[in-house]
Amino acid sequence: MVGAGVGREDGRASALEVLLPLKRGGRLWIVLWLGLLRTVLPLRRWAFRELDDLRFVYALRWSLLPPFEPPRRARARPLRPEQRWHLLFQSNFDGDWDDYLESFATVMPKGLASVFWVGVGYPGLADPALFKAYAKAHDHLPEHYASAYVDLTAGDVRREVAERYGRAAARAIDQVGYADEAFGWTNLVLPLRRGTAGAAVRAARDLEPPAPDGGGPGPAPVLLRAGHVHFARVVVLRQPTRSWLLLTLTHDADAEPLLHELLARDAEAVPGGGPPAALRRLVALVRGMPDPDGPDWDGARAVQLLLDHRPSTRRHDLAYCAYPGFRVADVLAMDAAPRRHDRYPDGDEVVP
Amino acid sequence: MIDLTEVQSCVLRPPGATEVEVVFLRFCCRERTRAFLRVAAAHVTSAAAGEQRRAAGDHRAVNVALSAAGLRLAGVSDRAHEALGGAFTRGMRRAADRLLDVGPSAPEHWAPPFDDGSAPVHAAVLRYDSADLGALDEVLDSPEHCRHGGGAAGGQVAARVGSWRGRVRADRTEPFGFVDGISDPVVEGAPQPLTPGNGVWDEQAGDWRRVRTGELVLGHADESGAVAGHLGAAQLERDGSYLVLRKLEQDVRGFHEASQEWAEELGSTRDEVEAQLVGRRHDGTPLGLEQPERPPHEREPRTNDFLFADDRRPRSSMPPSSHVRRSNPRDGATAAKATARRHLLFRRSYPYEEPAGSGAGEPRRGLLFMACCADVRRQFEFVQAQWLQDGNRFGLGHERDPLLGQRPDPDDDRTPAVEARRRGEGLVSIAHAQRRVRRALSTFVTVRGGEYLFLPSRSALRLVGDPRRP
Repeated sequence: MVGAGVGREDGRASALEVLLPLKRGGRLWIVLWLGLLRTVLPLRRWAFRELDDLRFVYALRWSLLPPFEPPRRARARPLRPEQRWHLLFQSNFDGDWDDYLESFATVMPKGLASVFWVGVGYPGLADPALFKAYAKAHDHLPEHYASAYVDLTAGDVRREVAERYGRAAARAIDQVGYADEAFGWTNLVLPLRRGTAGAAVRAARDLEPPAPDGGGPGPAPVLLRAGHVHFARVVVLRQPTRSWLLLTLTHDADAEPLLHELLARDAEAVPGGGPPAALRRLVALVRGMPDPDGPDWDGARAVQLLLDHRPSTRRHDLAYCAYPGFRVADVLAMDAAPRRHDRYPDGDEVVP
Repeated sequence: MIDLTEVQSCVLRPPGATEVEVVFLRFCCRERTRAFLRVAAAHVTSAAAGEQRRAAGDHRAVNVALSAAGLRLAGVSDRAHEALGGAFTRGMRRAADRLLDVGPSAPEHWAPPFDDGSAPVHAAVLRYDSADLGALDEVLDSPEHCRHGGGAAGGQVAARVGSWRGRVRADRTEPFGFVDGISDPVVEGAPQPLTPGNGVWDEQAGDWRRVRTGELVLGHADESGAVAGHLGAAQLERDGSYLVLRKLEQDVRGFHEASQEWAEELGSTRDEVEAQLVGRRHDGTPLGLEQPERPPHEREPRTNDFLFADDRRPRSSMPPSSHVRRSNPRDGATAAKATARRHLLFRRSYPYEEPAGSGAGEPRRGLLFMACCADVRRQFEFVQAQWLQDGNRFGLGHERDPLLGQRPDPDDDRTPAVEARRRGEGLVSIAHAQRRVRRALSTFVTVRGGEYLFLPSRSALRLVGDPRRP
């Protein structure tokens, strides 16, 4: 870990960002299969029923990304990785990536294989060590990662829900973990201006305020200041011909007002909050974005430009969250006044 | 199939000896390291020889383990060294954050030969029941195998840099007073019989079965069906096993006093509170399986044949927070059935007792924790980090293991300690009167040093010790 919030971890939360180039035909399979999983509950249960038992997954999402550099000829072959369609697997979890992948491969082999088998070079799950090496090879370390509740695990939140709203509520969130009540995911795939990848890394790291001198909690990272974002990550993706910025927000409200608010708050000076306008400096590196200090800067226009970079395939996804329907404010309120647990979890809930 | 003449004797089953001496070595040069390993290949006790002696009631044995630094000094090729497990090559000191070896257990407080000032240990000789070291001692002291002509040159010497001694207590208890070593998984191909509870629960068959060999011995199929070990180091690792070695000092008085205080608050007894913390009675009986209807001489106190969810075996009522259940959750719940068998440890521990530092006062007691496994990260580090030093996998939030958990002092009212208690890191749960009750407890176990070692097969010892290798 480079520092708090920089890299893979923030408090209890860790990020995984696996970007897999797909075999020919993989795109069609992902579109169909994720669509089926989204709509057919028994199928989803067959594939990922155990996710709710794991306790360490906050939220995850599989989605389809178009090629970073479309091949010039439709039938060009062999395709380079950046010319292929990609499966993007993003996860927010508690613990260590090695344990996480090991648990996934052991507990949900059918579900995992049904999605990942279309990845180029997929080694299968027969040897978990090979699968872990494969996933790790395609994992991208975020330059910035932030969680809105650094001390809580998904298990803690689910436990609080059961304590406060009864076991019926806890069971209800099991049923809708993938549905519309789940968090919003906004994934921006932003092309960087040429030669600005290094500047983007520095700007992304500035999104994290420096640790206070005397220890203790400092101001919130820029991307969390609106209060509606559960998890935020920024990945600088260096492709052979161009670098890209992958900015992902897992949030409550609609994306457009959220981005407006983030850019507005970014301009405000926060004592101890690090360099001002860090987010604006980051997005200014995106191709086609006006200079934030220049006369052409218009917040509404900037938000629109950013939203234009949502992948056209964003509907082809499958997202899961462990406590759907609970906003950031709800979770923080539960954390501020936790209920005293005078019962052990029931046997069927105790999952190592 | 395991070749019993290749595997060292402490790998497949607990040594059975009354005492152990772990002698730590640091070599001066590659030549002497290799000479030592050649002699060791001939001198170590194989599992086959160990079984023969055991049949005659003789538990003497000598085993040799190497650290990552020792393997590198012996000239294991960079490729093979790189291929070995990352956790093993990084060593235990660098895993301190993950293992939560912090505060008094942090590596900067460890005792020699694992303290800050000491150079890395290269090897350890495990000597059971004072077995004769003969030729191994000679090669360390002889001048002829050394580039430095006896070890005087350049200030480097081949040296015995420390030793730990452990001894089984008369009642087979560990220092807190609980009968230890009851649960010990048996792998396929091991010479000892499978006893109920000492294996993996096979849900389909409705019975216990042996653990796949690769969970303990490298180069064999493990529970996932894959061959255990690392590509690129197969020759070195085959029939070997990793050994986790840790010196755990136990605050016996503190544990009993805290249990007594809590018992008085609850109107219970010290023994009851301690049994709740551990999950078994002092005589080894799992909670809920006490057999009060039987006369004492007909009870089976050390039974290990129990589960937590499946009705086809006696169900223990030990709480999810108890040490025994957290260390090996068996069929704790849906997902555990699939994962628990991938995180087994094969314990070979011995209690120790040594005089207090000043020579006066109570002696220091604890456990020389030794455990064999095929993957240090997946087995030992996972159990330590995810099951013992964190409660999330058991629905216990941040609560740490009652015995091994590192907790802030309950009387510490500074902000970090208060915050840690608020998060639940300083609290421990037990079941009392059908309720879960929690209380702030202090830390009872402190790590005094340790390292990850590798117990090679005899062929691998010969291979690494071969003087003709570049």
